[in-house]
Amino acid sequence: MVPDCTPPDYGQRDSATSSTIIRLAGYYDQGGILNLLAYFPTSQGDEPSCATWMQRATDGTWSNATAILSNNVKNALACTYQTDVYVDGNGRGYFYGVSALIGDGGFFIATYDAGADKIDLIYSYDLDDFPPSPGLSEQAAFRMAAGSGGNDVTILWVDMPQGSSNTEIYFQGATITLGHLNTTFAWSNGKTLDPQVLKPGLGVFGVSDLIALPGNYGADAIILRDAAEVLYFVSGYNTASPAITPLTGGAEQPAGAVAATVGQDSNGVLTVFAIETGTTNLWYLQQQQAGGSFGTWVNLAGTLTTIASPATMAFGPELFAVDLSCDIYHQARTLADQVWVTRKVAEPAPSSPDNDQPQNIAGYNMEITALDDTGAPIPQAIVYVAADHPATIVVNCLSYHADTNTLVPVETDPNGQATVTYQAVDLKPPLFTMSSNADGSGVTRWCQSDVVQTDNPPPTPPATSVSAQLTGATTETLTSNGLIDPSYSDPSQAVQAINAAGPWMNPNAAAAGAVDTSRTTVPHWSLDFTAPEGPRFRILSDAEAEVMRENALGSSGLLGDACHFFKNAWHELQSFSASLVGDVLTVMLNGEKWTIQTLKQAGDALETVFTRIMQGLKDLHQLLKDVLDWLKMLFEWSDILNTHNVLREATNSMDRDIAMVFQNYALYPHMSVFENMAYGLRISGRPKADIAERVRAAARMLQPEDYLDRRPRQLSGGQRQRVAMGRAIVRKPAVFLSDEPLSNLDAKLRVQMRLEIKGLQHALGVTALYVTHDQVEAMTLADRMAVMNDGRAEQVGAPLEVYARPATMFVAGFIGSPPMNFLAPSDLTGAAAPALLAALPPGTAAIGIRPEHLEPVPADRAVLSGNARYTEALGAETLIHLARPEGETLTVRIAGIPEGIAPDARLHLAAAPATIRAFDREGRAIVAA
Amino acid sequence: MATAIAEIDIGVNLIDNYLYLMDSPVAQDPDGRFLVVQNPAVLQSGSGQASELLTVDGDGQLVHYIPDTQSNSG
Repeated sequence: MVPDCTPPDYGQRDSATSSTIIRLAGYYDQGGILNLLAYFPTSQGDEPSCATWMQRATDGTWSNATAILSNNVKNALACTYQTDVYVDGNGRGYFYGVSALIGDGGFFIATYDAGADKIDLIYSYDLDDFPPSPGLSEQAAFRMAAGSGGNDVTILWVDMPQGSSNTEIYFQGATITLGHLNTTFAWSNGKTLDPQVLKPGLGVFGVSDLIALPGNYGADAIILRDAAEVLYFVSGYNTASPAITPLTGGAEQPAGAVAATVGQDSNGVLTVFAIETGTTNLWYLQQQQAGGSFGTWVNLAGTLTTIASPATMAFGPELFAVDLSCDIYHQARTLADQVWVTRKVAEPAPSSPDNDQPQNIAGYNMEITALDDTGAPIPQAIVYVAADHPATIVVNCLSYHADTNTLVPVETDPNGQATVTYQAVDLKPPLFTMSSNADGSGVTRWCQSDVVQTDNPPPTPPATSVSAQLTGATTETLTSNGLIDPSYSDPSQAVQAINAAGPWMNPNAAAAGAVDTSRTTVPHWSLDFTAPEGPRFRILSDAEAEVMRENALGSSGLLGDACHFFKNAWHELQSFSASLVGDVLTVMLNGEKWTIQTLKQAGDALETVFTRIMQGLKDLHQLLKDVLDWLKMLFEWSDILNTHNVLREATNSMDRDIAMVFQNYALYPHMSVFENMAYGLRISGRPKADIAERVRAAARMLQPEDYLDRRPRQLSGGQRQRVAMGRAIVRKPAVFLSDEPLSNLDAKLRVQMRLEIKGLQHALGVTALYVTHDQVEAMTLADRMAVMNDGRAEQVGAPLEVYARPATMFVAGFIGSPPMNFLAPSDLTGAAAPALLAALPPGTAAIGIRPEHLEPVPADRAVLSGNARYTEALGAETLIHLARPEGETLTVRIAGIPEGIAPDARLHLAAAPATIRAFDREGRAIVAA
Repeated sequence: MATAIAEIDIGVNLIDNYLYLMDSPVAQDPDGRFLVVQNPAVLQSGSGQASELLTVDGDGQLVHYIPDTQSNSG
């Protein structure tokens, strides 16, 4: 059916349907004019379609050229099912495809005749009568490719004959004779091939499955994609026996290709790009040499939806891609360094007014850094920006529609930096001006830089070795080499300066006698390697030299910045590399490139860096200590997290309102006391005034008020722990978790802090979970305690309850210092033992007696006896250790300092039955019925 | 902020060498509408990036991405 798209309507969009462009075909002609066919849907649906022919002149202006088409060309180009463009090796373009308005549907070829300023239809034929293979269906897909064997082009088409289940592929050579208004096309009868099935089972091909090679490839070859999305390389299709080879190579390769594109680099090597079926990863495959076999597939990852590559990849493999976020990327690999460079071409932006013609909107990103006189960044500085023609300026997510030279205030962030986005009309960047004052005055300076994302950014050596250029340098040779700025009034000074730099720069200078070694009076000069015309020499004033030196080194110095990174953002340091190629030193820090561009600067830079290293050894030493502190803290965290799952849950749950205090304090070494205490509040977004009030209140409570500005390393252990506690307190949590917070303190401080913690906990009235191995801490701090053994609670209760009635021998031995004495019933051999033994509950395997419950008695009242081994007089009490037959000791605690207990004195002991605990064989306390 | 700004460093980054003629960058499923063209004059001169991209934006309008010849390092 012929669709409703008649020639008079040609070039007009069908108002009844969407105005969306559904297909594009175009090319640049030799005159630099871009010819473009844009197809729009008809009322019959997306296919066939109506076309607009547009031209972009060399001055960048677009025009609608549809009106100058003749009717037959309009018929051919309009209402097409498929259209593509073939550009031959001479850069001449041919539109071709299948049009519904040629017979009942026919194949056509058209080319633009620049001399006549018209498109010339050079071939059209109804598919029913198509000379090489009559009776083609409307589904036949065509592709033009380079010719061979005397043919100018090859026409390829695929179709499935009625009654057949195999798609047949045809190749037919043709010659094209160029002429003004009478370019002719002729099939090459002598080279007609029989229709053939290249490989059974390849399935049905569409036009997108025929991937033609660049027009200047010079051999009869094409890439096919079968129904299983496998790629094949077909070569020699103009011969009697074409070869078809699956494009497989390497241990890993794409499972299939949902899309593929191919191009040819300047060495004649083909590169095939493919989007992998399922993963949407980008893969590429290259010939090992021009016309040779293919190598191995390489996975470049990514999640892409669409790719397209240029036919000629002048500087190496290259393509444009769209990812799942609808961002457009340009990706290219350098031939020499084989480094992939990816540039984001565009990303989503607000839409502009509807217009048939391209919107000449250019976008720019601008990075601003404000520095004070010392080179330090100025946070929250106000910088005013303007453009020399109307632009939309986006600052901090706010859009300003600024007229010419309207000043827009930009506030820098805490690092003194700000990002401004411009969108301006016309294809030229606006001239940016900056000032530090609202009236436009103040120091201003600006520079341009091209920043691209690079996977492995290569250093850029000068085109010619500077050393080579300097060898035997004279004023004349330097000038002829372009090394000296011709505008400079005294070129001979360049030679003096170069010579002043010594033999490192110009090893042959002295020997060659080419320069006057007695004149070395030029203090500052530069060799600029970034000038497009090559290295340029220039004498600098003292002020310029200082600015350039600071630019090269960084205003705070390379070492200072490195220290800054390690001290304040070491966790953000992702990469660091340095390279010295030729005479250019390049340092990459987190992807930011520092280039020391001149030899003089390099010398100054090295000297400065070494000086700073010497001066900074102390800082480095402290830096290492800080790092060790961090590591210790991390180990502490790891230990905590591995040991106590409950704490792990807590640390993952800021919203559970739990605060933690650690044995090793876990203070941030690079933060002051105030900052450490304020950290939790700051990240939770509390107002500054509230943070300050809470921190100072906690500081008053814990007495770190006098050292709020100090760093943790300047504090004693007790002070550090106070800070750690203060950090927990300021959050006013619902629960405190403390993991042995006093274990790192000396005994006296531990006692003091223990009392402070107890008082603090009562004052705050906050539930606290306190982990300790110190039973005194447990006894004195706890309202309820849990004694843990092998990961389970042996007993839970009030401290004195646990002390007086331990549930197990473990608890009995753990709680109390000195620990409970354990004896077997058979150890009770004194005169009073039988009565005591009779009172023990059945099943008693062991008895426990606290040291303070044993008292010296006369022998006839004793339940056991022993010889005093040694005594510990503590003042308020005395501990007497008695030797036991098995080598064990029995401890007795007596108030005061007893008299008459000599070494090895025989002691007879007794204990009240109520104080004796009985345990069964499993160590469990036997509770009397 | 009373501190005087002694120096303002500004880096202008033309979105990566390509002027972008915008509505939104690209339509969904731009197959068939994602066309790379090359200016043979630029290509033969070897003076720079010759590849340009023609496609359609999210509103179906034609957009043209061309290398920015005015951008330079310095």
